[in-house]
Amino acid sequence: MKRVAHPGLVSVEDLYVHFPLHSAFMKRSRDVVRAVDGVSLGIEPGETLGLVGESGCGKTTLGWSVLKLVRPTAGRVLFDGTDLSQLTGRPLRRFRRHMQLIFQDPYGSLNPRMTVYNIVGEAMRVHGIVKSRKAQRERVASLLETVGLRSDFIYRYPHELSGGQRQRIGIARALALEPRFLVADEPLSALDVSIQAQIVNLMKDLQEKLKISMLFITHDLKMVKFLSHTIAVMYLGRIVEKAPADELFLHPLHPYTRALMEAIPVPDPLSKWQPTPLKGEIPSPIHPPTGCNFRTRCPHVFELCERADPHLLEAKAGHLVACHLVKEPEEPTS
Amino acid sequence: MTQEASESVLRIEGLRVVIKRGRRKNAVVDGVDLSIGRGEVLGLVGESGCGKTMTALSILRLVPDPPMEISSGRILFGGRDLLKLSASGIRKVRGREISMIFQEPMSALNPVHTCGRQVMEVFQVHKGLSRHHARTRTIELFEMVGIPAASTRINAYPHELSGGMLQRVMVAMAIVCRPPLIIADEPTTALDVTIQAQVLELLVKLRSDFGTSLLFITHDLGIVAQLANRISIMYAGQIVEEGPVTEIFSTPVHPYTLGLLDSVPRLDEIAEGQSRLRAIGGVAPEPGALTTGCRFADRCEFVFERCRSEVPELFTYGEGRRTRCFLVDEAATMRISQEAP
Repeated sequence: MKRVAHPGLVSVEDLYVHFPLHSAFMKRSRDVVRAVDGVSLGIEPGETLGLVGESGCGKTTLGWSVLKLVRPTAGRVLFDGTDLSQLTGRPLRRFRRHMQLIFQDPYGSLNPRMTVYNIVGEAMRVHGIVKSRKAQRERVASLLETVGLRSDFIYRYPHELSGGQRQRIGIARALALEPRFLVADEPLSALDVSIQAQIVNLMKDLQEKLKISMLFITHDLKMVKFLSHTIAVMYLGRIVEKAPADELFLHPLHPYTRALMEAIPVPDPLSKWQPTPLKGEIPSPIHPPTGCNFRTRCPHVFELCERADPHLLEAKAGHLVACHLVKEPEEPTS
Repeated sequence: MTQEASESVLRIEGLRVVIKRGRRKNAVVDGVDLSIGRGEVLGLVGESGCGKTMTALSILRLVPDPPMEISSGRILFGGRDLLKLSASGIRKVRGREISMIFQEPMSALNPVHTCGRQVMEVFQVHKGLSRHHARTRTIELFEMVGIPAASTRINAYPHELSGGMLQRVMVAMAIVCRPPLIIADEPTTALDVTIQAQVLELLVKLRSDFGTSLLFITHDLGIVAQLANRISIMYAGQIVEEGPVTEIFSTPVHPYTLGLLDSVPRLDEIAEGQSRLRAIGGVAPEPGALTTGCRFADRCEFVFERCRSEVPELFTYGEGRRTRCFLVDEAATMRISQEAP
């Protein structure tokens, strides 16, 4: 297997996250849910990596384990060269200020009993960035302006805000510690289309202005193309394809990536949309298929797929794909 | 091109649904007119809270009352006003003449009964079939909607099936009586894209097989573009634009429609280095918010004085198109004044 070295700000090396299943009272069965099953990724400073996949493919678990909110079963996560798995307690907490999370649900992720002043400012106090109430007030107010809210929102409670405004508060909170790395876990899926566009624009502006690295987790291919430099496609706990955003959309190589793209209805009544829907559904991550785990749904499946597990190989410069059909560097077919 | 009123399967006139808050009554659906032609797919598009689901629920009188209430309007279907039917009268319409596919199949099905039994029930109630016959027919129907191993799956409980399979069960249930009209309220929103494509394909097939009319409620313009013949776009409880799907997409008139179309990036059209999406600023007004003039005025980039003082009506614009915007009216006025010497 040809390993690809991942320097950069964040580097995930051969990461596995398996959740044990409890079969009966106090008994542990030997089955595990293979949420993340051998993933290697690198994120450069200032780069946005889009992570795309359907529900249950392990993309959220991967995002959380990069932040060490979930303990990996095996593998390492390096942040700026430091192995996070070796850190605990105070040293780990010091690293936390450099890595923040934007949550999916803007309703559930804000404490309804705290004002915006405390929601955004709490972490600053904890990390000793602000020494006085006045300093905190000033910094929270300036953060609110950064995310496009008036500074008089500072004493409001979450219930007084709309979904889009709440998501802006979530972003302000994530930015409060001036992190170098952000994980955005489906930050758009709870919002309406017109509000989604506002938040996407905001995230893109901030990312360009502040040069933050970002792991953008989503199931929405349209938004991921707009926001990301590089895109990784995940299926059943594994990365099946990874390429620069434009390259991936121009020359998708993995059958799953192609199916995902085809499955999106084209918002144009004149262009005939004729997807060839994938057969069946995502298999259980408890007993994934042998060999290539996509073979049960793949339209191009052949005998080798059952026997051998395809590795993630570089099909051409910067374009990685895990498929037996793509063996050596070759010209794109489409 | 335009569907004549006589051809329409369903016609809604001046529908108004209010939410009661103490003594106040705030309209969530405020004077909606709609008609669906025979064999037509009407896409009802709008964002959350715009009243599209309440419009759909009103048709079968399923509006949660209290706190909501249908305060006025007519819903004409098969020569009757559905709003005037007795409780038992409307029950006969539900599932037999008009059926509904809900957004979340996981919560729309009863968790303590098997999927098969819930479909069989429709056969028994509306068709008067015996248990045995209902069971055979249900298995046939399950096979038709693409549920593998249908004869064993009819014994499965909803929690044992995936979202995509459950939505197929819902579709099967909706077509038991071959109703002339099916209402689908965001049927694929809870599903993954690859599964969504499967379910949409199924709906397209059903429509061509049975010629059923479909009221398709969604916020996804891509689905509407591919599935619908006509679109109605709702904003803050009102229809703001309506017309044939090709025309709405090629020449949208209402600024809200324009904004919606622009907020969705297209896979094939995102130019390299495109830095921003054209977003609509602001948020939609709450039901009952005091507005004088156009409800979209605060978010509209073309707003002018008249929008703040007068309430726009649905102006007819071209063939089969209506738009709630003064720009259309102003343009028409200008054209008339130009033609006059």
